[in-house]
Amino acid sequence: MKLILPIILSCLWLVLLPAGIGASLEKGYLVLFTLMELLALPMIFLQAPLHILVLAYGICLGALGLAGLIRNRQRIHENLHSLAALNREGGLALWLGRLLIVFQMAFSSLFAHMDADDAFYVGTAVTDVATDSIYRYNPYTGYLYEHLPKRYVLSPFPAFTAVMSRLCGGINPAAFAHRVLPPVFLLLIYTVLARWGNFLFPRDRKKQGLFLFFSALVMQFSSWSIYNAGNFAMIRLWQGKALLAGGLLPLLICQGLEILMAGQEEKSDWFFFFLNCLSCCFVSSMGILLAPLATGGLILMALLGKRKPAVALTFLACCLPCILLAIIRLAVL
Amino acid sequence: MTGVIKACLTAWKSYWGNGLFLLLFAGCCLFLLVKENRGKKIRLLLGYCLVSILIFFFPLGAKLIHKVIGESVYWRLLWLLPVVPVTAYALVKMTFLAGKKWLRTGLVLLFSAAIALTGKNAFSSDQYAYSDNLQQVPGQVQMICNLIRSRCGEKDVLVAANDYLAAYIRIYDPTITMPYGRVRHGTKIKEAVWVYKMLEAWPETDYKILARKALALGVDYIVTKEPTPKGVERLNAKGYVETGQVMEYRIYERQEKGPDL
Repeated sequence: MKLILPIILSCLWLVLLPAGIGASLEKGYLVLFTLMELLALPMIFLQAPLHILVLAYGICLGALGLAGLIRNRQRIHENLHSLAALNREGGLALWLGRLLIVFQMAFSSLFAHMDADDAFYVGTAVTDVATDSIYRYNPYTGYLYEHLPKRYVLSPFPAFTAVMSRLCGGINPAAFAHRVLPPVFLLLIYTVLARWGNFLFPRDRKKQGLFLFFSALVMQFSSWSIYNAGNFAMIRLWQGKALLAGGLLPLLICQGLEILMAGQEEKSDWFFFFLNCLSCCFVSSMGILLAPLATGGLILMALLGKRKPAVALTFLACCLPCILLAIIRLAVL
Repeated sequence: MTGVIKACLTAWKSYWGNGLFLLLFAGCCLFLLVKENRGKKIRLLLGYCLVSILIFFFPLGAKLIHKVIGESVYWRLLWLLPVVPVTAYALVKMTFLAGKKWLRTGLVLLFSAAIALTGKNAFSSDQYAYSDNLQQVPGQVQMICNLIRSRCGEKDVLVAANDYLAAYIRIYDPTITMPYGRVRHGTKIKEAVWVYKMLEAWPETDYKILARKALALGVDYIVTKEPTPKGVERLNAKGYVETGQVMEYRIYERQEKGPDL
């Protein structure tokens, strides 16, 4: 009971901070994930203690949060304005959809899904915090690694869980993973779906509202198989691969289609596409494969449908970090 | 090549399961293809879906990816298919084909029912349960860890348990060490593998081997389902004495002065 308030405050902090940094939740998280990948990877190989990573990440987040608030004031204002317009014109379906989303967020935090994969993902976060180290101890046994786990080390999402649990007042990392991350990441996924709605029905708030309602309903009834992306997102969203399947890949595809649709692409669109490619690699080792594949599909679309070789080349350039990580994973580690 | 295609088809079937959701999704795609094919955006969206399905079934690519990630998780490539947005998009489009408001409301209800009937509730009792511990680990794990801690205090302990418990014990208490971890991913030591195998073999566990190998590893606590009287004798003979019971599990503690190996 005494941890209810810290959990609610942590959820708020994990929504407001990225929203402040990126002017929207999904962009903020792309910055957060990329930053963690860039900081955690060298620190893992240098065997730095966890508290150094917590300190470095905390300072960066503080600075980015402040800079984001100043720089994105106008955009945050615009986003809030557009949210208000959506509230007015979204209709009953939007509110029903939101009700369902709030229910899902609360349920995912209050109730437990037991997943044996946690032995590694949550186990690593818990072990890192207990030993003040990053990927030095085997979470299965608690003994020092003889070799780094090459399958996972390039995607150190558990380090994010460990660091954020420290930055959220020192909540137990397992409790943080199971109680705080699912509702926050569900909101992130619905922000991505709202972006799809905005892309598919620009300026039509009523249809956007209904789109969100149907999306929430499909997610709610997504256990038609245990393997599909929706089911992963609904039952084990604290694991990076679930976030990849339910949030980051749909976002990557939406970003790509937006770029292909736009007559003139903005630099920021490419920047966030690039960040998403890196974020996919960060949250799961599958992302190192799937982000380039999704981008490959977009490249084909750019070449066949739109005949835009420059766009195709830029897509390729954006997923170069994924290709580089794949080479490191296959040839070096 | 036929083998690769077969593996792709198996992965495809695994992904879509036995439900009817695939039909709903295919119907939505078909609707967009036939009725709404004029928009640039829709062509792009459907084109992307088609490309991702082609990537999935492309035999050479599949063969390569099977080698890299393994055949057993090839279904993950279907995460590239934007199932939720495409389904919701088509359903909204269909709803707004109706001119009258009451008809649209009826369609929304109908489509909602279709989603519920072709899918399965993600929050069902076979996937979620109430957990009274903050870490959301199985109740037995919490009780076993607390019992062990109450016995040994802050001391470092090595605990051997079956695969189910091994997956969660260190999540609840990371100061506990374990000889092998989940599906013995954490070790290559022969004795540890033996202990794992013996605990997994219950009720056919050979407690003589279990106790001997556990002692050789320096295991402080063995957590096993109820052993046979002969099994208890063999555990006791090696110095492991029952110190507690949590549901179907018995906890055996190594006494400081156990008999020699």
